[in-house]
Amino acid sequence: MTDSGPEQLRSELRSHLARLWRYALVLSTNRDVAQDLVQATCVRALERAHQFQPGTRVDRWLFAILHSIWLNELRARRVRTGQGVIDADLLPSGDGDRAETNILARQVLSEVLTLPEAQRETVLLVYVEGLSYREAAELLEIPVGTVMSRLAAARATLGRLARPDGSAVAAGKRRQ
Amino acid sequence: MNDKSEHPPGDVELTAFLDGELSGEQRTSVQEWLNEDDDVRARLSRLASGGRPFREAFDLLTEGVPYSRLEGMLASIDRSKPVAARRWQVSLLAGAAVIAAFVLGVVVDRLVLPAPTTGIEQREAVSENWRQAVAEYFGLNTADTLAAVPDDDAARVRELKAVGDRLNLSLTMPRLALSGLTLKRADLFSFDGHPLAEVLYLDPQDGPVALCIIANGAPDTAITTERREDRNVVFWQSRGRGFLLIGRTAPGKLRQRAETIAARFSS
Repeated sequence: MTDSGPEQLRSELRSHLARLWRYALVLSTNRDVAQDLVQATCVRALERAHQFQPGTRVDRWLFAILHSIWLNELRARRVRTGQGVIDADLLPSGDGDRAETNILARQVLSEVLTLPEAQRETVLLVYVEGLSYREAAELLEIPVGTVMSRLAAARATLGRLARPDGSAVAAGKRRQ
Repeated sequence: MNDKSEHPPGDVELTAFLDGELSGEQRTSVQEWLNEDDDVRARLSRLASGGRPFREAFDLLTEGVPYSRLEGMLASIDRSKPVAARRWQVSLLAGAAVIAAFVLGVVVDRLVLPAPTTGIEQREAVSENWRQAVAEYFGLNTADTLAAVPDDDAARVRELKAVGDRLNLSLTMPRLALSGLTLKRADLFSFDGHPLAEVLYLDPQDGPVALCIIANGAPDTAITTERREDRNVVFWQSRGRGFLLIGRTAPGKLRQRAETIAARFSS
C-alpha cells in the first residue's frame, strides 16, 4: 500500500466488519471469541498493511488473515474452553417483521452450524461469499479437491436432513 | 460422439456440476451420465436437496454485529505505538491480575499469553518472540512486588515442583540457587501452547531478576546476550527448552549467572 495505505485500510476494515464478524462467528460459534478474532485480524492487517497487494481484493486478504489467526492461535483456545459448543445466543430472535422469512433462515443456519467447522467455513466462502472453488482453495491454502469434497460432504449431510420427498428446505423453498 | 467418461461421476463431481464449476467437457460427460443412469440422477437429486438458501441464513449472523464495540476497538488500535507493544496490553493487565492473585495467596495455574503471529512466522515467534513477551511481563515487577512475598522455603519447593512437573524438568532450590539472590517465587504460564516457567529472584542491589524456561522443543543454541525493554537478557536453548535470564544486572554478571544455571541444566 502507499503511505496513505493504513488510513485507507482502516476505512476498508470498517466497511468489512460485518463480514469479518460473520466469518469469525461461523468458525468460533462464540461471540466473545469472534470479537477477539475480528480484533486480532484488524491488528494484524494494520500491522501488515504494506503486504497488501494492490489490485487484489481487500476482503479476501482480510479473510485469509482471519482464517490464519483462527487456525494458528485462537482455535485451540476455543476447543479447550468450549469444546466447540455453539452458543445459544448465536441465533437471532425469531420475532419482528421478517419473522416468516426468519423461520426458514434460522432453521438453515442451525443446520449448517451443526456441520464440521471446515465444511461450515467452506460453505460460507463459496455459497455465501461467492468465492470460486479455486479462490477458496487459495484462501484456505488447501487443494481445490478438498474444497470440492467439503462441499459435497456438506450437501450430502444437509440432503439427508431434507424430507424424503425432497420438499424440506431445498433451494429456497419453504418447509411445508 | 460420446463424451461420457468411463466411470460414473462421484459426489464431488456432481457437487461441482451443481455449482457450475466443471469445464465444458466435464460438464458434458456428467450430463451424458445423467441422461442414462438412474443412480447418478438419484445422487444428483440428493446432493441438490442439500442446497439451501445459505445467503439468507448466514445473513442472520450479521444482524447481531456489535458495531459499536468493533468500531471502538478499531479506533482504539493506537496509531502511534508499534503494533508489537500494543499487542501486549492485554498481557500487562493479565500480569497485574496474576500479581494480585498471588498476593491473595491464590495459586495461578496458568496464564495464556496471546501469541503474536501466524503461519511460518508463528514458528519463529515460538523461538524468539517469547523473549519479548517475557521481557514485557517481567517489567511489571518491582523490588517492592517481591519484597511483599514472604520467604517460605516450603512454599517455594511446592511451587517449583508443580511448575517443574509441567515442564517435565526437575526444578529444585539447589539447582536454581544463585549466589547473592533470594528466590522469591515460581509461576507457570503458557506461551503459544508451550508451558513457560518464571522463577523470580530478588537481588538486593539490582532488583528483580527472572529465570524463564519454556518447553518449546527448539534446537540447542549458544548463550547469547541482548537488551530488551530496558533490561539485560541472556538466553540459550538446551535439551528442548529455551532459557532466559533477565534483569537490570550488568550484562557480564548476568551472563555469569546464566552460565551457572546452564551448566546445571546441561545434563
